[in-house]
Amino acid sequence: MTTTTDVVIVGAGPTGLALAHFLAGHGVRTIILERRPTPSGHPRATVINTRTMELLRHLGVDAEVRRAGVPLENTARITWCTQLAGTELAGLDIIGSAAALMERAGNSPVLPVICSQNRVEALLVDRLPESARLIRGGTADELTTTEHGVRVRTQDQETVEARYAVLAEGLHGSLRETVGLKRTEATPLGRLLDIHFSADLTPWTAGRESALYWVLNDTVRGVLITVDPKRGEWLLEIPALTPDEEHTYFEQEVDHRKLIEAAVGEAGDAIKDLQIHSVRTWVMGSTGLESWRSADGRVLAAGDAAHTFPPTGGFGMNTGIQDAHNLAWKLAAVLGGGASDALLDSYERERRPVAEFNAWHSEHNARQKRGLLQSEADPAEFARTIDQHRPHFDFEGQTLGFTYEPAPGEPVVRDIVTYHPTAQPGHRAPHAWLDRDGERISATDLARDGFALLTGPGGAVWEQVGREIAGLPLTVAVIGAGGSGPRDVTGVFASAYDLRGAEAVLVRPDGHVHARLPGADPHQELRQAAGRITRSEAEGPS
Amino acid sequence: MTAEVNQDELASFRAALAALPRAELTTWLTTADGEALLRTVFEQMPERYTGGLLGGPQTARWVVERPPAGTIVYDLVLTEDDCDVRDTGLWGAPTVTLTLDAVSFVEMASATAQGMDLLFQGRLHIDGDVRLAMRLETLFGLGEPG
Ligand SMILES: Cc1cc2nc3c(=O)[nH]c(=O)nc-3n(C[C@H](O)[C@H](O)[C@H](O)COP(=O)(O)OP(=O)(O)OC[C@H]3O[C@@H](n4cnc5c(N)ncnc54)[C@H](O)[C@@H]3O)c2cc1C
Repeated sequence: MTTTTDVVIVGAGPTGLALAHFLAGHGVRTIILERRPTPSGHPRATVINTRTMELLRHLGVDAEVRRAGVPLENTARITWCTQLAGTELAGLDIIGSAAALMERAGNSPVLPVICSQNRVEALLVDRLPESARLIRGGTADELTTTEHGVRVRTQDQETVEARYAVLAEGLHGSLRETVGLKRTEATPLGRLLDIHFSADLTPWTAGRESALYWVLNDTVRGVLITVDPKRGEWLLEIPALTPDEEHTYFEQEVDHRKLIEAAVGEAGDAIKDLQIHSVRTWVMGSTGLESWRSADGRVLAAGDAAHTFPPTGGFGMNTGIQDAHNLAWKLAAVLGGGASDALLDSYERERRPVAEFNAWHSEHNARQKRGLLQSEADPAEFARTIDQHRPHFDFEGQTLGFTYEPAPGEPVVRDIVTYHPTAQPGHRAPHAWLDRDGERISATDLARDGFALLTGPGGAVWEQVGREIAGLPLTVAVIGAGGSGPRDVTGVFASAYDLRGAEAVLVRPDGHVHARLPGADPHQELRQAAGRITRSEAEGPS
Repeated sequence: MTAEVNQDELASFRAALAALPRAELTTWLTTADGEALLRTVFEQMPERYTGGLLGGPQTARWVVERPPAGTIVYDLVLTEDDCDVRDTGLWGAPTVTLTLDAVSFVEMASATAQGMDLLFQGRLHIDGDVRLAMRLETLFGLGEPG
């Protein structure tokens, strides 16, 4: 049987599912092929960072994700100890003061949350809109490009025809190779043993609830990851960093229960309700693709299929979901005929440097943790040096502050820890609470379904421009203290956007600033800015 | 709506709140009846205190704004077993200060809204000890929204 759709997505991991949601928001139909007949119960990634939570908020699932997960307020700490029941070596507060919390509250309408990947996936599947069809047990076997698009055949001889294919097939998918997308691989840093288990660990965690408990002792040097403390669900992740450790953890009959006991520091019968669910191993390293788009342009790769990095920093799933968000509106504009196909080239141009930065940072974290895990468990030394590790766990600047338009020679992230709001081109348009007819909305909400042109009290001239760019809707908002537009109740909008006179900021549907327009000749300025999208000249936003 | 509303259980209080648009509630809370309700809510805080705060007494100062009427300020002095409601300033500097508008206060006290949500909507400002601030709702049995 042959089915036709707009975009065929291979892989229903977080990247593929998020892409289907984002595309549906722009009215694009998708079919998602997923080879697994049932979802995986292994938690894998656990950190949903602030930017990803903002995207989930726009999908209307943030509250559910928060309910399914552990809020940061209960896990805003990282603990180092010899064993859970042993000596505490150090603690690092992610939100250590009221000022730090208020600053976060000013950066975004949401907080990051710890919620395991399998739960996020389940929620995304549950909420799939009608225009997205998920076919489980549908292994994509063959991908060919046709004159007008792609044809994907599944193992069960189902055929899906679409204008574009997105391979969100994860690291181990094999379709990329068949369309000439060649893999690249850095030397792995080691292997990870990942034990998913349940146990009541509250006797050792109460009063110092943390996202991570790093343990250093003669049997285990690794990290206990909080998955769901209410239900007592945990991951013990142990990196094998040396040939000796490879041997200990992977090559002989390993007693996983003993490893958990060593991390906790108590015999198994003293640990209530201990039960191992699954054990996985994982190569810790970075991989990539030479190109994220096939030569004929019909196939694009996203998420782990395009890049993987070590888990240190928790960027894997987040980067994939954000790839999807960058790509979705571009596909919608091209499919709707509002932009030329060249717009899709900006996807890799913008996202690759971000993924490479996240890879670099995750590798740096992994090496730094290797040093720490191999060090003496000396509390005085830990106390002296622990703050050097802050950027591994406290990375709001990296999460919210990356830019698609770095100045020549500049990195995409300038400050990993601290986010500095700016409405310059390439950056995520900053959050500010606005009052719209008594309702509190974020400035970032105005570009939820299309483009937004945000201007201050002096920008009424913009009300005359058209309401569409590249076939996608354009919202014009004159934001001031009075008037009919949203009100800048806190003054944060005025200071973060720093608009002079009639100046306006054009925000793309993915929430990034495309251009700042002076407002001297609104029609002409907007036409030019839109032209750079619809014709997608290589210089990108300006 | 009268001050008796607060005599009810949290659930019916929440229902009464839900039926009232925010703007109307804001205005009502600036009236004498509104003030009486706010003061009753404070006076009843000790009944909901679940206790368990270790160490010496800690003071949570609540600053409830309802312009153009006057701001209502109370100190809740918390120990392991007790919560004492006092007028400001009788117990030295507060450990934490929570500043919010009257509607948000009523929402928080009735578990209609979570403190963290109010904070992230820019309606609640905190100053001082963040850990005590984060624990307050649990200490008053308001952790789970109804
Ligand atoms: C054991 C483990 C622990 C991890 N821990 C962390 C962590 O702590 N933090 C972190 O950030 N990241 C972690 N990761 C990485 C994180 O899980 C990934 O970054 C994330 O899953 C990427 O999502 P994705 O959708 O791009 O790919 P995936 O989740 O890999 O999804 C790809 C999907 O495609 C399907 N598929 C592949 N080929 C085909 C085909 N031919 N036809 C149909 N379907 C196909 C697969 O079945 C799979 O469901 C971990 C990964 C593993 C394996």
